Amino acid sequence: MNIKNLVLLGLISLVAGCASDMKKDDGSAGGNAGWESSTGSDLPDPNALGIKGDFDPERDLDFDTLRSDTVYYDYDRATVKASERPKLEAVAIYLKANPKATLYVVGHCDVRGTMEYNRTLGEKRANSARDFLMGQGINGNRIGTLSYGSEKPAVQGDGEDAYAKNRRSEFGLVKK
Amino acid sequence: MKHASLLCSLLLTFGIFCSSRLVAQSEIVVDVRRTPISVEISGSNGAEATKVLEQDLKIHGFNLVSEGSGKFVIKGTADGTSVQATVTESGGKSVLSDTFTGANLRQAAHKLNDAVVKVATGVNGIAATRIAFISERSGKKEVYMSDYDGHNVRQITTDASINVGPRFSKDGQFLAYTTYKSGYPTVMLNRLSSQDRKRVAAFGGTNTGPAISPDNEKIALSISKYGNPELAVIPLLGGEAQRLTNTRGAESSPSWSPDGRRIVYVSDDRGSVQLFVIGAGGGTPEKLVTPSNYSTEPDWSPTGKDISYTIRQGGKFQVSVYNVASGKSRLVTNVGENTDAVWAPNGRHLIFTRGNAGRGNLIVLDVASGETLQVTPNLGICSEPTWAP
Repeated sequence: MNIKNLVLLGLISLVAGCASDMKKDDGSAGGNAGWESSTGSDLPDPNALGIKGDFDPERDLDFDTLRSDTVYYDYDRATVKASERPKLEAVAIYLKANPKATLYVVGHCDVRGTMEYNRTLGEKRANSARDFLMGQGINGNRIGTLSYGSEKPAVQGDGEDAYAKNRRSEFGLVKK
Repeated sequence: MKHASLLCSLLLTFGIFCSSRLVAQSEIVVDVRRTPISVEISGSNGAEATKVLEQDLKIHGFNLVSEGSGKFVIKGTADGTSVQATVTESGGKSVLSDTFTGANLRQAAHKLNDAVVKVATGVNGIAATRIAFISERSGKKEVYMSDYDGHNVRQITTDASINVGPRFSKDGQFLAYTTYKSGYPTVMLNRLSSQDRKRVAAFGGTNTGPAISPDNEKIALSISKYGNPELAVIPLLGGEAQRLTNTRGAESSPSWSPDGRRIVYVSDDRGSVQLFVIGAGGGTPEKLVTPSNYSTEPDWSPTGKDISYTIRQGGKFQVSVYNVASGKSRLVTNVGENTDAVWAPNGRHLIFTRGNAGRGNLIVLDVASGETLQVTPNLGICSEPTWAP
């Protein structure tokens, strides 16, 4: 590490230190770590979405209401395809009509990636759907994300038919 | 008999030898001269001790020969949970004479093996080491621990949730993993000595892929609270996150260099899925050139010289080893499909998952000889192994 980087690191630590005095970011709070974000926006933690303590997505989220708006992706891609945009626009319309509603975007992958990579790919899919909803004017504080990677396929089996159905983001409304 | 030979010729048609179970199943064949060694252990538990020791010696690249012959001759007696043994080199020189005692006979035999491996090759043996991994035996994914060969299993978690990606600290004192117990992926740290645990990363979004720094001070992981998955470092017991990357891609699977100064990880920021190295305090990442546009699951060897990773070739996953000095990669598996390799504490053996979609059997590979051993915890579908001293 050269001197310039050392000085920079020092400055960053100083800034981060100051920021942490004002707002503790211990993971459970899920707030800003004092670093600027250039992509997306900070994700809300479960508390901010109206969930207290540990939750069970199967029990505490309603996946039925927006089931038909499940968004599908190309292989190893997280971008929202043109064909999938109307579904996200429909989700945005629902959220505007129900201003108290909060939801989780839940990203999934097919089994053709390695496990840990798939966990982050699923998250990236959920993040891109969230970004799209924010672009439709929905406040990011209403939208949480989580990824199951390839742990919860929608359909079992091998072959492109199954894979295509498993590369998806689902929308779970927080039951209140 | 007729059916058997028909089956045999069918199998032969597909290039599989019926006797493959009898001969050593070899990965990429390594041209190595195996040191001949012999084992002769008597006593009330002599037979069992011999069986364990022979398995151990084989996976350390030795060639087992008839009693009393070989470059090294092991003679001893096994009673209770102890093995007393002497090892003589051809010519009659005694190189080892000791009594090995364990919690059980297997462990005593493992200790004897590691002592023999040390005097014969100078390398640390792995027979007395432990592994942790995920098993789906209960229908849920839980963390288990066992000896390196799958014996003496202990269940670590009983969350009835999805627990994945376990990683030991270098000293085996801590075990970090991702759990869905909270409802979303958060990172848990188990303290094995006191059998307690703490949730150390629960930022909004996905928290996954924890890797404990060699000095047990920090955890590198992937967190998405910034709006997409980025590489970050947190204190061992949780706290403020220091962000290391800032891309539009997803960063994942960090692994520390043994000196704790650098981290190798996966990023798909530049279109394909590649390995990068970044300073432990951040900085400009350096891309590792590998012969595949899908390279994931890096694990930095304890020697610092190599990085194992998963490569996709022709739609199949295999384990490859990247040499840091030369920048060259070498495929080390070619039987079935293999993922999620991690190094043994000695930097010579790897353990990985053999099966489709990263789930199946755990296999130990001696990279130096190409010898493999199937780990047999009898726990059904297993995945994501990690190795402790």
